[in-house]
Amino acid sequence: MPALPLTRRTALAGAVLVGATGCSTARTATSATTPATTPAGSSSPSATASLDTDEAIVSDLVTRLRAVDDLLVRTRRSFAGLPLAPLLAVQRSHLTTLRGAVSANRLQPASPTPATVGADRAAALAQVRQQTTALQQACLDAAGRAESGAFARLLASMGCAYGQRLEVLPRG
Amino acid sequence: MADSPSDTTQALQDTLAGEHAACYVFTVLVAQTSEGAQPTLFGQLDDAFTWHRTQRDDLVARITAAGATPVAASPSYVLPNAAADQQQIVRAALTIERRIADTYGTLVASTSGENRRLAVVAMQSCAVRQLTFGGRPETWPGTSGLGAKASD
Repeated sequence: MPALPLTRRTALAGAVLVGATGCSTARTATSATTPATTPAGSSSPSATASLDTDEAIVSDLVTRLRAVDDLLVRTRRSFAGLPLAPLLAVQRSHLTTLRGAVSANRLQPASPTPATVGADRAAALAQVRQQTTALQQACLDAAGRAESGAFARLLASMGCAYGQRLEVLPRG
Repeated sequence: MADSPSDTTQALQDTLAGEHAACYVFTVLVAQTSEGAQPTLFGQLDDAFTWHRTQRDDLVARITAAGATPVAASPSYVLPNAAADQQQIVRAALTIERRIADTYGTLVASTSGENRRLAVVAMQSCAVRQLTFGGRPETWPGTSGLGAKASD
């Protein structure tokens, strides 16, 4: 997955999706009013507002992804036998993609209250499941709010990935 | 948001065309499966058919409400692969679910508001149902298969 050093002058959503998957966004909801087609340095007010909305989504999700990353790392440290590596790999791929889409100073600080690792295997898995479910829902909700259609698809895909992972995650 | 009414209607029509195909294929796959000998698979295929039929009807209603004529189903569709045994039937079902998840991904990108919410929920359902038919979790499901597979 390539790094995505984007700025506000670049097309956040379309570029993220193209960078993440290599696919074209030719047939998407991007039109003259969306960031994906706004020329560099000539943002209209509506395009700027759209970009602000989508950047806010990125910032929020990066915070959530970091929190889940932290929980997964600490859970694996406490319960080495839990099969969390695939979930961690997916989550880190998503984090890398989103983190590269906005400048660091627009990202929120890490959550001050990290989730607690469960006391035993079952509780640890339940905590991971709960946090992953919340992340999944956040992605799907964000997909509904995103201004850019291409970015919405990316967010929906992330939510789908967590939905799949939750299906195969042991139930303790 | 950037979808014009005509773009939205066309995106819904494209998705409806996909659901027509899915309904056809799942009808064939159900017919090729013995309820007595393969009850689990039969149930999974029947559930999938029922889900896609519901989606198809919902899309028809949305397109009609938008003042357009819903695209008609073709008389027949080419199966993604032969469906002579259980393995082939499962493979065909998985292929269809992947294709329709991509289709809903396109609908997500092409719409906003309530239509996009429909597409997000449907994309999620298709992505999860892929696992029922032997699919493996992906890093970027519903993005035309161009995303990397997650390692297991």
